Amino acid sequence: MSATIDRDTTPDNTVTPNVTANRRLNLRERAASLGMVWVLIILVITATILNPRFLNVGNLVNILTQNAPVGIIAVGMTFIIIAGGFDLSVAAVLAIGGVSYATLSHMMPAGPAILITLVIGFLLGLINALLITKAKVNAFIATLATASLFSGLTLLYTNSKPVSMATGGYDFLSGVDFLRAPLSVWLLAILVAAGWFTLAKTVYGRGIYAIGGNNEAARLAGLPVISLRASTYVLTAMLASLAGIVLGSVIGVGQPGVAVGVTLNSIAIVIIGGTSLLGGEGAMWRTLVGILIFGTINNVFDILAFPQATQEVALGVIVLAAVSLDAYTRSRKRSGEA
Amino acid sequence: MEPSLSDPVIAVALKAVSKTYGATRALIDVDVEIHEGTVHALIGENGAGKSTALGAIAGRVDFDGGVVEVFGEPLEAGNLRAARRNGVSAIYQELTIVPHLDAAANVFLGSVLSRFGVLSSREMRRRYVQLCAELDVRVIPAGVPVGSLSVAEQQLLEIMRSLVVEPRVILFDEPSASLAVEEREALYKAIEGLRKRGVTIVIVSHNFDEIERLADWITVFRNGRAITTSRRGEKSRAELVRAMLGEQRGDQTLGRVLMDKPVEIHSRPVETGVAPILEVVGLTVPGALENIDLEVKPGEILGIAGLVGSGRSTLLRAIAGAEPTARGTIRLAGAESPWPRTVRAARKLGIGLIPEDRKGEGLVLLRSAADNIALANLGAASSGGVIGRRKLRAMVAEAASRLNFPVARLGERSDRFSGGNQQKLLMARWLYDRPRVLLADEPTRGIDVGAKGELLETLRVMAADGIAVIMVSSELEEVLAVSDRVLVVAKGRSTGLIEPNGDQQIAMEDVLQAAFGLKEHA
Repeated sequence: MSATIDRDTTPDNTVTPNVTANRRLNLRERAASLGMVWVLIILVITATILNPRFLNVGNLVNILTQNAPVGIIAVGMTFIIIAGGFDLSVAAVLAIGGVSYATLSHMMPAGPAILITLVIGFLLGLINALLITKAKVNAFIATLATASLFSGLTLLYTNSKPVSMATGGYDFLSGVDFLRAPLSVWLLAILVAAGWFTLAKTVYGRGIYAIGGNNEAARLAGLPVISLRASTYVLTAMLASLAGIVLGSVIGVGQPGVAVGVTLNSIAIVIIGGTSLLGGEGAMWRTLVGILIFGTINNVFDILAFPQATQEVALGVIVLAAVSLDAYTRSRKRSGEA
Repeated sequence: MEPSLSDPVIAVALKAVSKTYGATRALIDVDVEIHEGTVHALIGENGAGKSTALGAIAGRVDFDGGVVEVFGEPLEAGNLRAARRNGVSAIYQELTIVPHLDAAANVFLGSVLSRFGVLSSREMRRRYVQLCAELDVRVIPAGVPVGSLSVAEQQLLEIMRSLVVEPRVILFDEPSASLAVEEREALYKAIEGLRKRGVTIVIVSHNFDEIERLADWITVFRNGRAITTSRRGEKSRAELVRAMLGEQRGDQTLGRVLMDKPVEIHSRPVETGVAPILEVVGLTVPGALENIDLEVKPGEILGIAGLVGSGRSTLLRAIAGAEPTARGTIRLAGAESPWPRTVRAARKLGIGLIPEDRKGEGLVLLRSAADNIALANLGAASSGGVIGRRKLRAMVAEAASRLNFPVARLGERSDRFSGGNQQKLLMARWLYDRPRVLLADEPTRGIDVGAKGELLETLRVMAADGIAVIMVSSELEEVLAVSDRVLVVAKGRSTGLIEPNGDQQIAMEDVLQAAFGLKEHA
């Protein structure tokens, strides 16, 4: 410890060189922190070479449309992970969202159906939040349990059968276009922008970083640590139920079966962007980069007609690259020689 | 260095050792000779290079110029194993014990005694007891899980572990920093025992009492250079401090006041007419505190003194709302309110806390200095929940500059700063968001002499601003140096409120007597 202290103190006579050194250091650190952006750029170039039509607006919209549900969840997951938490129940909540919206579509107009579905998401998130903040169950365990609980109940309720959605515009999120893109893509864009603003510019956002960086320090400074942490789970569950509505409007049914991949992919997207699983660090633009990398890989492999399994291999490699980069920059910082 | 009488053996020699980190020159042509069988202290401010020098000997620091020799053999730079082969063992501040294993298992962690791959438990127990005897310490039961032992006992186990490999040189990096004053005796006895056995000891320390007691030789570091090496008693404290800080700074700092006894008290009498801002009546925390009364006036510093385990930190935490079982009556500016059971409740009353564990409980190390200052009240610089960057920066810079914190570095991550500057960040937090009452728990722990004086003066600045300050420190001299009055607690009860005598001094003797429960003060 004292060795680190020794290094970072500025002796009076070297103030000027140290300032420049810090600037140089920050530049290099910035380049490193952009690591996954370079990966995205390389992927896009590769994709364009393999498929000259890759950068066409149509194709890009296609990528975003496909990944809107998982992207919407990743926005919430970013909050949870920066706050130092974890949520394995999002896929189950997504399934409940889809089933709930499809079921309600037979009883009421789209507006109230969405509203009620979001309220259900809110309540499911509240269950996670209470388990984690009040009962102090480890987030990993708590959401592993609720994931099983939620999906089991959904399967029981639907008798394991898909629930069809009523006709008559209930699929407007995927069926209606605005400026050449379906509303679901605009919804994703708005959520990413709002998430970025909240994390970067608001008091609430700073609080999220603070509890993820050092919960005890935040508590002793007087921050409402319990409500802050709870809010991330509630927010994410609401976004997951919204993702369920979007997915439902794409496929026209509410699927009670849980796509396990959604949970892992939403976490992978956040990690790929460079947000640290240890909490306290990260940003929403990174999650956007993660969504784009994830979507590009899917798209390229689809175009090349490679089997699904190869996509999973590629995704695994990229996630490993992202976390290694994170660990590497972290260890360099710690040794004081970054 | 003067040659000794009977040509001593040089155990460790640093010859023109240099080390550069980026633009910072941590060591510049350092020459030090360490004689076999002596205790050699390296002292200096944070950043002076003493820990880097220690690391060079330990093989932890990959120095880039010069030679380190251990008993005449040059060490490969930055090779821990080579250093160990040459008989060098190091004990760092962060202990490397495994809490779930028992004491004996921890001692033999790196070098398990076995026969044909089977643990020889009996042999290890025998050696364990033998090691306790060699160190001249009370035998710690071999079978207890180490997690349940005190830090001091854990440290002794760590020293015993280093002895298993029979080292010739043992390096200590601030060994007493994490120990309470009354726990240090066993450590000192152990070090003296090692010296008696002919082991060479190099120790980095901030604590002058400890250096005077243990060290045969003292080398002072400043700005990466070894400034001077002297024998025990050759130089006075004041001379050493001046060597550490440089001529100009050495004369001004309160650090000097702390080093040169008797302690002078800096307090000014608080006007008697002023009403107290905080009154506590009958504060009780089950199992820790009983029926404590106190009051503080705006502009006053109330020191809390007491031994470890006396409840002094619990007292602060209870007032800060961090003790959910606390009960009693609290009045702020005369207005009575229920006892704050959460930190948020205490904050609403205008009470702010500087926690004891700077890194663990005070700072969000990954965030910038500015963010850490603003942490207690992010709302102050925002409208409608949106932070006004410019306003925030201005408010934070104002608080930081009043405490001589380098304002140009506010954007840097807070783990980049020295302990002294990190502590200033925590203090600046409460200049940025002015509480009515500020509670400072061990504000100078692990901080070097120069910065210590500055931090204590900072508390005075805050008091002069009209904040009522309550301060706890295990360094009695510090409490006496900054406090207007001192409340002494022993075994959870208040045993005395010591006020300055006719010469405006608080007598240390009075405080000690109350702390040990020898005499009840009115």
